[in-house]
Amino acid sequence: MFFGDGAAAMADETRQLALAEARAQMIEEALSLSGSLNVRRTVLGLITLLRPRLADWATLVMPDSVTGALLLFGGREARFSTVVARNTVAGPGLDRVLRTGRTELRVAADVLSADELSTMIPHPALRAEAAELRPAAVLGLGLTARGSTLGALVIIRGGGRTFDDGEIAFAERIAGRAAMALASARMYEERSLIASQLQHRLRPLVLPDVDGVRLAARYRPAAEHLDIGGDFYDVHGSGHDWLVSLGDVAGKGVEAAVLTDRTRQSIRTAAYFDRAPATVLAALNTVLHDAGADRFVTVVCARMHTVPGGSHAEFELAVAGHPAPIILRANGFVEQVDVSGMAVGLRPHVLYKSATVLLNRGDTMLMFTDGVDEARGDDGFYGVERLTAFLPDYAGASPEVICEAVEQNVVEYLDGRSHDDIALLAVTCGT
Amino acid sequence: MGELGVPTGRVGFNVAEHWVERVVVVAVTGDVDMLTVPELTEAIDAAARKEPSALIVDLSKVEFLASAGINLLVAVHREITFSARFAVVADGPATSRPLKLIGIDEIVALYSTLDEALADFVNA
Repeated sequence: MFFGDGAAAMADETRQLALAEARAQMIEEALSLSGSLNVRRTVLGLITLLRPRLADWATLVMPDSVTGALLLFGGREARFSTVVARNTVAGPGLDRVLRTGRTELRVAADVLSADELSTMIPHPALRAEAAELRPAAVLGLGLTARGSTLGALVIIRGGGRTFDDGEIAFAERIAGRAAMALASARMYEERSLIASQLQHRLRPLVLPDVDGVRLAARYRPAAEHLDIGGDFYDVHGSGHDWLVSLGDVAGKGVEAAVLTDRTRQSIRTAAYFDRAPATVLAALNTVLHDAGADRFVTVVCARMHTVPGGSHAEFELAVAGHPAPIILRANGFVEQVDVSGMAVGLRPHVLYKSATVLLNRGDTMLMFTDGVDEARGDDGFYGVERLTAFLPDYAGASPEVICEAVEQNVVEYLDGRSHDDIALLAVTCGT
Repeated sequence: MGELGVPTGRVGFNVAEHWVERVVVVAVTGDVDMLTVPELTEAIDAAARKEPSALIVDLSKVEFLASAGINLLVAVHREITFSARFAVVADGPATSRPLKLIGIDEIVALYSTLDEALADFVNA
């Protein structure tokens, strides 16, 4: 009837409008998934978003980028997760979704169609959950971002309902947005992992035990880039012949960290052939210059000859664009070693000069990076002068105490202001 | 510096370009650090594109020169040498001290006043 048709048409229009609004809302929520930058939270957000509005059940499958195993998330419990071997899926179904990113629809009508589920759900417990929803429609969606498929989303509607073409197209849109969020989160997590692994390489966790001297070091990264900084230190050698180095690579981030690592490795390699600091720095300079690094590196290098028991130790020092070390004598006398040289990487060939310093029992040599002298407080720069004025009180103290006291003094001077990376390394003569 | 200890390098930072015949002077005021280097890079690039005979970066009014800023000067030195002469004006512990410590004075002409730099570069 005319009248009834009109009412039906109006009701239909209202339904369409409500559907469009609900979908717009879901797209909005899918977009906001990008805010998390955490894979697990993004997955949880996605599964919560899908149920029950688009599906009764949802699971997410993502190959691990390192092992290739399949990470499974969700199912009935949004927080569930497990790992299965990649070869548990093969052929059509999920495997094809993961390989091609293309959508696959399966309808599992009854007990006989358990195979339909097994090609899409690679885990017995999840498969059992899905089986309970039969007769069900299983939709496999590729999670594709920037042209690469990083996983698949498997969603199920139970109770005999299926997905029509419009719903499949909508589900694909949601999957596309979720894929972008997941890609960002995964990239962020991988970058953080790379950063922390690099950082881990840059500093020895434990300084070696050297007969005749005591060693201590402190490292305080700048607050605004907690992950990786460009300061480094290293101590290597054997017996009574050691090379101590400390340096600073301009800039931050992975690029700076890679250069820092290369610097440290180059110093070790150069020292393998000739441990004279001036020679090590000249070799390092040529290597970094030839590598075309677009930033300079500053380094202080000291070759240390120790004697058993530690009555004295002889230091041969060279610096490349770096503040020279400070010597704190056991009687409180403080002096900065008189040696200078150009930063590494600016010119193809540079000759470095070296200075020799003799430490007696209780004397300390302190190496530091510009996070110390360039710390800014109410009275301008902290400066080397403030450092040399501060140190006499710590004459005869252990290297740990000296490093800690300097760091504390700089931090107090900063009075909450931000600072560059601070690295300190102290060698005290005597055991 | 901001209240929360966050560096707010842009406060008080300014770059001005002026010409003395074919010599362009890029005069900087404030801190040159990671936050302000992008702006300074842009200003130097813009000045260099106008094909000066020489480019002088004047750091007389700079209170802090971080390594990012020194790297920029090295990069400018490398890129501009073929088309124009390049000099830096820096005086005082905040600028000339780190430049000399790192050895920039060995690869870039370093002056303590702008007048001295201009005397060498204008009509040179």
